[in-house]
Amino acid sequence: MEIKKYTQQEVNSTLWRACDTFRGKIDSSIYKDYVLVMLFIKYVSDIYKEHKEVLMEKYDNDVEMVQRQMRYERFVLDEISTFDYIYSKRNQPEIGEIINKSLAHVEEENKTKLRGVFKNIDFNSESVLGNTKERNSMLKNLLEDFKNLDLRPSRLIEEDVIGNAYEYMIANFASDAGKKGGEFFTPSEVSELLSRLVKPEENDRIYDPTCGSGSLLIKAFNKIPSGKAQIYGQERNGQTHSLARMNMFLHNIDDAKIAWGDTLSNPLHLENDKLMKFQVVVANPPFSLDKWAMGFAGEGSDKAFKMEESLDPYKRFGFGVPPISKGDYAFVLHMIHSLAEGGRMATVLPHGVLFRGASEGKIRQKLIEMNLLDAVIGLPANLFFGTGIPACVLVFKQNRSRDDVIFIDASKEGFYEKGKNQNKLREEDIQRIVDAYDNYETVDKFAYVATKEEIKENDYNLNIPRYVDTFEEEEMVDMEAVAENIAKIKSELAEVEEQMEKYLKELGL
Amino acid sequence: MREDVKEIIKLIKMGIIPCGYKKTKCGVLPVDWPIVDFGKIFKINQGLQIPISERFLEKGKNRYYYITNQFIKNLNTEGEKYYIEAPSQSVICCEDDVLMTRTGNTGMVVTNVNGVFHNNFFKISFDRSKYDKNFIVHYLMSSYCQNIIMKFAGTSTIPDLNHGDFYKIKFVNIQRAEQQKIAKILSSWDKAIELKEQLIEEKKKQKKGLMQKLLTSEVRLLGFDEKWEKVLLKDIFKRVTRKNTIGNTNVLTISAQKGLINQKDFFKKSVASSILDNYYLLRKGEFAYNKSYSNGYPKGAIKRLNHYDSGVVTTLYICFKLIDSSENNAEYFEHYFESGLLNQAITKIAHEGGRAHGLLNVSSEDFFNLPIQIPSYKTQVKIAEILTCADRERQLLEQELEALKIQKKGLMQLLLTGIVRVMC
Repeated sequence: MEIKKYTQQEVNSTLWRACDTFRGKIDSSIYKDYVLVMLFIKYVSDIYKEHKEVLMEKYDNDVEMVQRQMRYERFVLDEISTFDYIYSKRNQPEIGEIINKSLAHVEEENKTKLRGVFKNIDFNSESVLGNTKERNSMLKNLLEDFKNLDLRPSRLIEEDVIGNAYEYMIANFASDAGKKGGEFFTPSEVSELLSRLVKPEENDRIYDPTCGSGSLLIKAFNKIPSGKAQIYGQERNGQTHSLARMNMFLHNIDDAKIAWGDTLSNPLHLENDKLMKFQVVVANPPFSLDKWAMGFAGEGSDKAFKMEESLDPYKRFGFGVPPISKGDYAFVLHMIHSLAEGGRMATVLPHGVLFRGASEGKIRQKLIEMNLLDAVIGLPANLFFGTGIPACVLVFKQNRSRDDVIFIDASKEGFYEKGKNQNKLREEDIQRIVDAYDNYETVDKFAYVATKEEIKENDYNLNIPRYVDTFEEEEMVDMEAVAENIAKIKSELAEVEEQMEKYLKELGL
Repeated sequence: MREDVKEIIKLIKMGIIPCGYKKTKCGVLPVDWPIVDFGKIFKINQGLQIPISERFLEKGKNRYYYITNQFIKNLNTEGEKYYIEAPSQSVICCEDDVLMTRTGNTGMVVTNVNGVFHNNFFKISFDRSKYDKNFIVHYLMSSYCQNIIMKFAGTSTIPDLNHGDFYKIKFVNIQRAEQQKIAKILSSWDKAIELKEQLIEEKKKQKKGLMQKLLTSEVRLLGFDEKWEKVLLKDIFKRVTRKNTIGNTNVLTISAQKGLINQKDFFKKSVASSILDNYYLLRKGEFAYNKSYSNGYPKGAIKRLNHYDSGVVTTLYICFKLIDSSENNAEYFEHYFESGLLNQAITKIAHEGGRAHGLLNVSSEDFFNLPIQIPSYKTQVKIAEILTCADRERQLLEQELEALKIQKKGLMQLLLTGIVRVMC
């Protein structure tokens, strides 16, 4: 008998339907965590179930033997923490508590991988999920929605369906919840572009200082076929940090080090008390983060806090301290100082970083004088969920072999696919950008290699149209043809006017 | 066109610098045309930003009209205008001054206005004994200037031109007499364009008057004094509900300006559902009524299929055709429907739907029961002839206007680059 296999699309749409349980009752920014945790549990339970079946057959139903073998799995689970167990209790009045216990159990059994992952989620919370009656009916619905979703690896059409489903959900919640605090989920084409620009290699350390759910790291990691690379991330939001760790697990990146905390005031990836250095850094930091430096203010400080270079023990602000209301360059400087010799970094930023003056102008000048900037790439508007602002990508490199900078303007019509709400970069669009970057040559109306002198002449303003000329030259008017045309119109007009005159006279008007 | 000018254009197009010309940062120019930075000849003043709460809605003593981006667009039309009280001298401009938008519609040039200018503008001052205002206005609007302004201003969400960049733009520093001559030539084209636009407006009014008088029998043509007959629409028209069984894919939509037109041309994409079997098939000469109102068509628009042999339309439209085209003239009714004379009658049978705002609820039964006064076939033909003639006149005037605009653009290309030199 042929076994039905689930496609990515089927899994995605089942999940989206599962959200209906909560929709309208609880804010999506909250319920997304419940749905995603449930997806995680369902998936690991289904793997567990399948492996157990295989082993039972192999060891002729020798329960003890199978139990022993299961201890060596990538991920340890036992009966009372499986989805099926929770599902069987779905009608119990204390179902919320039962789920919490199961989660705690999962965490306990898999300490090294999952410690603290479920710390932020409480299935028994009255304040979030409502009174016992409401809560129980919602949880029951949720369990029933997931019951029919078969996530056993043998039932899935592709290897990464579940990881992709996870991404799909996060992306959808990003568009659903809209923006908050300038944090935007990185669409997968943009992640793909960044990961191709930085060209990860075997044994690289790959780092994202504002990793969110970790999609950029996963894309970069997947560029290394052997999977021999170390993944480091840091995320400030506790819930998102948990998501990132589950996401890593689902994508089979087991030894990723995802830290929880504010990267600027409290960078957690250190070596000998200094910032750890990475060969590859990718990021999509929050756009123009306000009060980015508050973490440096310390306890009980007053409102008049002023960020100063000396407050940073890691000496990242030697080129200048970014304005308190716009954290863009704070992240850039952090990333620059996290680059190893020969390291490559690419980051998504709002256009303002290209031309804003004051301290940002000074930092920009320094970055160019120190020969760190490698490429400026303008992206089309409307690529991100929840914001229409056009973003750009800056590529930096340590130990550059040249001293000019390539500007690429990929924002114009024809270089992306227009969508109903969102625009999209197609494979050919991504490749066009990457090719232009790799060739590092001027391409008419698309790319321009600017010398340091030219940039200096423009007062270190990096606004892309100054370098990439995309204006269409005005066609010379054919004066003779126009004159002829006018003469023709005039003679016909004379006839018509005569006729009109006649009519008016006839009408006595 | 003179042969030597043709030759110069040909060479420049081929990338060769003609004799007597030089290559500069702002294109190929005569050797005797010096270029200077704007910074050398212009001084710019920043405008004034005033919160809405501190603006006045009435004129008054020591109050000045507030020139903002949004008001400049409808300077001559009705609508709220703001006034600012007792501004400093530096933000006041008079008709003789030149303003340019810095942000928003960056690069727009404004002159001949009195008032206080908003922060989105700057005022450009210069030595009037050396430079001609009108020349400067034309120069700022040249394609060289506009391109470089946009290049400096950037293409982010809100383009912004800063002072330093403005000062870097190049100016062709020719003698004042030559400036004046060029400006005079270009200004006469501006004047011609303006007059032509006014003429078209007058012609529109005239056509409207003609329709009101002719289609209501208020004014009779000599020898056409028969009594007009009162009928119902259904007496002369019959409904078309022909389904698209032949797989026609020419999906039409009603545009107020262009009539029944292919959807792809109008919306730039097809918005119709992919299965068109349920659509009505319309043939050339037949009418369709779109019940949603649009600008100029408060009770929806009725258009006749003129551009194609056939096409399909949504079943939301009421489609119909003449019962007998030898008894009634379709062209006459085309004018009649266009005149809006049916609007009052439609009002009585239309109920605006609660859900689909903009869509009038008109049943086809009510529609075909609308009363209408009609003249004899012979009169219909004659009236249609006159109104069609008026339409033709307006179309020709509009074509001429377009041609004049292109001609002016061509003149700017030639005069502001010195390809054609003026005699002073």
